[in-house]
Amino acid sequence: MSRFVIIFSVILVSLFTIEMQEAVQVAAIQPFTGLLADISAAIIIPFDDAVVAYGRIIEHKAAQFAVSIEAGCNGVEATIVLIAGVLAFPANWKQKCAAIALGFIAVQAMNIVRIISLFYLGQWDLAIFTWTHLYIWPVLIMLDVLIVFIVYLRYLNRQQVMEAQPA
Amino acid sequence: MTEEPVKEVSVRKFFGLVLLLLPVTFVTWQALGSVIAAPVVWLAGLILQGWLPELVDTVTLDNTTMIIASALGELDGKFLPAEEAGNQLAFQVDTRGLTYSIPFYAALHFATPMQSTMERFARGLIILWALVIVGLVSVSLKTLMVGLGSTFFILGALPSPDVIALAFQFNSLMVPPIAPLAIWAFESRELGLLPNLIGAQITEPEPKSDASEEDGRKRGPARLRRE
Repeated sequence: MSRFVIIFSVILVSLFTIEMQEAVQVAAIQPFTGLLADISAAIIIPFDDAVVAYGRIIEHKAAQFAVSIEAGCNGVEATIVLIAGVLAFPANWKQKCAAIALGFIAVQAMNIVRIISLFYLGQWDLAIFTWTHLYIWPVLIMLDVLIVFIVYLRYLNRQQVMEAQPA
Repeated sequence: MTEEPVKEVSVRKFFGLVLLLLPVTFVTWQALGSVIAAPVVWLAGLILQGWLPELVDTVTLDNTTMIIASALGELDGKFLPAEEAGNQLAFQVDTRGLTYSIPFYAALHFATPMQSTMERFARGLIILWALVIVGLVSVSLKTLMVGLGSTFFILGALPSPDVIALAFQFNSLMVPPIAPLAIWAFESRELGLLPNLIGAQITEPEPKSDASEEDGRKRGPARLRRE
């Protein structure tokens, strides 16, 4: 347990520090956040053609409401937590890479739901938007990370049990 | 304290219960308002006033907003002592941006079957409060740094702007959602719930003789197949 905690903490703090560097933000995080805005808008537009996306902003032209996806809203921090957890737990590299890739998709799928839900909540009621954005969604995203991690640990355990069974 | 038996908990049931409890804990947290924030704001205020007496005059709580009254005021674009400036600069910090870790932890905790649940919850709450104090100090330093610019560094013995910015980001973005999970994971592991959720088989050590069987029973908690 202590080995897991130490490795998890070191990876978590290291990746977070790297993520916060200006060069990394410009080269990787901001373009990725822009891509998230594009994907979110692409999902919304077939149902609502008043929506446009540019950069990290999604705008509803009719409602004259826009959201900008900023650090902390792009799911990168949640992914870092998942990566730290997966890397800190003993498994082979193939299993770790698969868990990170699938976990990343799960976190980002949830994050796109967050972005779209907040986009419409904001048009409906700004106070509820703020409350949900700041307090509820971070919890739900982290629960998503926990579910992915527990599913991964269950998979590892099943693999170990299968390997331990005589042929 | 005696060990308690591990109850069977399915992943779906556990997370379903967490999702059911979240609205209850968040509504309670919202209703309690300043009650949750008051002790941590008071302690964070003592730290800030002791650390930066020339910058921080008073720290108060307005509902759930921490108000830092600076010892400085502004006159003609210059920061001066409040008496000279004839006004006092005040900065706001939203305590809920940090204390939302408490309803999250409460939902995880009360979805977990355990004995002495309130005692364990109180222990978790104290740890979270301690982390919120660290968070409030970090957020306050960043707020003062942004508000006062270079004056902030002239008047106080402070870490570099990069360290303050990183501490602010880490304590506001990472700690509030992770800390409840970490505390819950620790107590769940202690109780055997985590291996239960993971599906790891809990096996008692094989008894070799009557005497060793007796020892095995006395040894207490079941052993996990993998660590």
